[in-house]
Amino acid sequence: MALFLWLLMALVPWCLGKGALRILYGNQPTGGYSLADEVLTGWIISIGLAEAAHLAACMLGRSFSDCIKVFGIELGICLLVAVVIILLAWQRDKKNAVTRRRRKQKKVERALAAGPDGGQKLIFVLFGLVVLLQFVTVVTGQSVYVDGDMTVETVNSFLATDAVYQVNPMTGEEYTLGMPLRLKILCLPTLYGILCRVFQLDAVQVVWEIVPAFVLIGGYLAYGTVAKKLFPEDGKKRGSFLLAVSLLYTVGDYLASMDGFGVLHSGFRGTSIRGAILLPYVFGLLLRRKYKLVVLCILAEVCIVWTLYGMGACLLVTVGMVCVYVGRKLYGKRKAGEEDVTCTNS
Amino acid sequence: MHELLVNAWSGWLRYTDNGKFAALLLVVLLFLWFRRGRRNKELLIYTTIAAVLCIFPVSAALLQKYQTLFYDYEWIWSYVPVIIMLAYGITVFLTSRWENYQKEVRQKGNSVTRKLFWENIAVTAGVVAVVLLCGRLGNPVFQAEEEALERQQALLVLEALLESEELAPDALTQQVELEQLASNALTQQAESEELAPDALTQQVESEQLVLWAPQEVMAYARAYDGNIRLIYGRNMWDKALMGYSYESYGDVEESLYQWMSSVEEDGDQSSEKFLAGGLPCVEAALERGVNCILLPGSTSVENVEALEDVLKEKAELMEGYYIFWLMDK
Repeated sequence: MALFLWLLMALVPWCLGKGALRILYGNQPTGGYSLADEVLTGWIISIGLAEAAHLAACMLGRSFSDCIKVFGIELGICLLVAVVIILLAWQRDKKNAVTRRRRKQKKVERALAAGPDGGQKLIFVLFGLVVLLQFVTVVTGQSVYVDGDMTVETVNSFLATDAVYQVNPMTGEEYTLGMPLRLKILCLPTLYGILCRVFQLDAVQVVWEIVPAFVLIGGYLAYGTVAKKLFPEDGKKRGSFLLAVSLLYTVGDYLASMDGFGVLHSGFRGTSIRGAILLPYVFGLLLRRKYKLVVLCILAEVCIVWTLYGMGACLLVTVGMVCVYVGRKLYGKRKAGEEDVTCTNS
Repeated sequence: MHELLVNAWSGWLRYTDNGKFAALLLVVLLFLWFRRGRRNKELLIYTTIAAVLCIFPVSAALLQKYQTLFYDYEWIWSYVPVIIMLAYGITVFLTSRWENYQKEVRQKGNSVTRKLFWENIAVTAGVVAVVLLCGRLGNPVFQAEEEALERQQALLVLEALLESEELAPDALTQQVELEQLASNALTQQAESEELAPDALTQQVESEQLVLWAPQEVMAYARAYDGNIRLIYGRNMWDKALMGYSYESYGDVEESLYQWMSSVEEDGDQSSEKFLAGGLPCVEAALERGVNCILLPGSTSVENVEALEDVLKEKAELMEGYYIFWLMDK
């Protein structure tokens, strides 16, 4: 069942993401987004679907089983829509002469382009080795850090009581005073609980082993999109960038707030998913001017991390980067205007 | 606000104490600013401004307020793309050196550029060494192997508890199902005989495992089985977890925790001292529905026997713990 979960957690989000990107970006050429964008968008949408099901259960007092049914229906509908959109787009692309010509051109370019040289191969092999080491560390669950976190206990409470936040996860006793609403609305325990129930797996296995492995992979996908933007023409530089990231992750786990620590020791936490996937992806998207996807990342963060009334790190980063972009544009225009004046005067 | 400012300054000192990524970031920013050639200015400007805002106490305090006081100072560095900029700087620095080497090879041939090759190897190794030195450097935040071992041992004990003759896992499930049936029957009986609802709840819940054990077992009990109830949870000693709910523990739970901790530390204490502290705690635990008490294996035999006399129950030694089953109490 674990293998089935691995396959579905890769394929289902990819399908969802592909459909969603078609809706968001219409018929832009496929060079606008990549496989990494499709998978990451799919995961973000899955978080959104889990949030909707979680809120329905929480606020309407429904059971956890009902929550799973709601999630299943939402996912089914979204997958159906995504598959229909993908098929329609594929049919349209087959008939569209421009798209056919562009694809042929790309094939020719790829065939003519020189393959990776020895240096590039070495870099990617080293990167692969480091990631493999990290993957094994994470998937064995031997280096899990649980201080200050009760995700597994929460998931087990949901599964044992078939209810969402009815008992204190720490003791199993019913709440007398309750919990903060800003924590209650976060959906990760529900998402993990759904995976446990559907795939008949232990909470420990899903939360401490499987999810962190996906967060690790998702992190590198996100950094891959950043690398592609920073070094669009040079595969060797992209490989070096990713190798540097993997090294920084490995040695940069000296504080619980470091991204490396989150990825290697507590990938199941909302803050780790934000640090490893959402924030790097947001930086990449902002550099690529893909603002619609940035909005999805901001919303995803609200669903998984305690924020100030929905205002989190992704929003602040977006505001900051947009201010820098606008500031540079205005400065550029002013400079161009001054140069025009100088030219005219001379 | 004053507290925030103090927190911001001490947080910065803490952030730079254990690792030097922040210092390395400043070096990389300087390198990128003064470097001739193409670089992503947007990212560079944003990172510089964000890093400065995180270092200066006033702006850092405002950022802490924005992120809510649920998180410590260190988390404001999430707004700075530290890993991206470090990786970007390292990549630009090293690839420019190797590109220069390849240009020299094309112009002058391999033999002439051998010195440059070894120079680049040394520089690359140096950069890797600097990154390692600025990182963890063998000082772990927590003892991963020890905690993994502790988890393994806790799992063994919990599995043994659930598999024991008193309470087999299938029997537990059957027992719960039987209790559901019994509770339905009792409800009907209550409606006809006017039994108090609290008594019904107690009767149904009394057969669920309610555990009181040393810290290392209690810490993982509900992680491995959500059906186990605890007299107190991990938030008794991991105060960061108290922020997750409005619940708090009373003096009784604190005393239970303190007494169990004292037994863990000194299982050889005299029986008088052991019972003087233990008796009220055990009584309080029983009142709260505890039906299974674990004592560490290091507890002296005299103390275990003293508790056996009080509880009128023989302890079972299993996986390094003395287990008192109190299902009928």
